[in-house]
Amino acid sequence: MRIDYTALSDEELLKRFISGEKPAFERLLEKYRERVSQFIRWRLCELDCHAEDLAQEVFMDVYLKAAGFRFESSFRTWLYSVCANKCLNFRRSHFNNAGRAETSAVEEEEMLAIPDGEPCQLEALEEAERREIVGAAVEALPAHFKETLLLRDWENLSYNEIAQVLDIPAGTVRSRLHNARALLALELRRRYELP
Amino acid sequence: MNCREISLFLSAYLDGELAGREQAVVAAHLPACAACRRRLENLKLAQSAFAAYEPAPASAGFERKPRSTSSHMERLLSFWRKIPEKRALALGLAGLLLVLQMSINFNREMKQSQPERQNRNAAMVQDDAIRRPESGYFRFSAARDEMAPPEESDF
Ligand SMILES: [Zn+2]
Repeated sequence: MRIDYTALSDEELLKRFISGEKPAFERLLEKYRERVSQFIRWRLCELDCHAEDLAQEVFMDVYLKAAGFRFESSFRTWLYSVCANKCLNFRRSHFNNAGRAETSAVEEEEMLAIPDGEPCQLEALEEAERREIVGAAVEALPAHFKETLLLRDWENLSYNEIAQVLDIPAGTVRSRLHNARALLALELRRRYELP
Repeated sequence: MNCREISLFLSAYLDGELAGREQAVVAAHLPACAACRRRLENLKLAQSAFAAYEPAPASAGFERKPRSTSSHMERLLSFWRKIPEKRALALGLAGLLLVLQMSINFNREMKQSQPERQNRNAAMVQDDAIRRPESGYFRFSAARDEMAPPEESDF
């Protein structure tokens, strides 16, 4: 009987892979490939043309280091921590210093106001138009907002897990998500109201 | 607490990340304040819009082939083959290991009966059909897994 790998949790897949079931690894690869690549693209900012290379290295790392995983965190937290470390090391070697790009140098001090008008009726739009508005609004956000939103709204990580991945205080995760969503709401409205 | 203070809690409220006391304060404020309810709605809109956002797959490095012409094996291999040469050297050994294991796996697959393979292809096509649901685009607070494309496998 064929095993339905799509029905298994990440941790179960990893356990099966460690005990020799290769399709379990393929499933993890398949599941996270696009999202991990996107996370790395946003994290690398202007170096994003290297994102696919790094994504492949991340999965290679997972493949080679899986046996050492101690199941003390979720697989996702580990996976994205590997990504973040890869990006950090890559930036270091590329720029010969420790800093991430300008985006993280400017940490959010100010809390943006959330729009308090009626939310725009995106669901009433044609699919294509809605996609265009959402795409443009999301892409207009600073990269560190997008990567944090990705961990929260695509991957459902908790604030503590996000803090661990991005190596920032949990309070910063909270204020960053607040600002990211406030800004996104604003960007959506701006594009929605264009004539 | 005034509206400005409450508004700073709303995003974390949405995520269920507030401490019990803060949670209670927000929950008590909302029914009495239309402006904060609209702020919360705007945050939900932003959240669901981002959750549903699918960037165009960049994947220049991930070779894409039509599913019908690429075997499972080819797809996996094309993923690893794209590693740039300078890294390929360092990763060569690991890659070789992977290839060996995949080929064992591939052989096993080849032994699968034809009808079984066809069934699986049909299942994949069905997968594709539910990839981009018209509805569900703005489901609030749904887990990403539920609304995400069920993971392409054509690499
Ligand atoms: Zn209020």
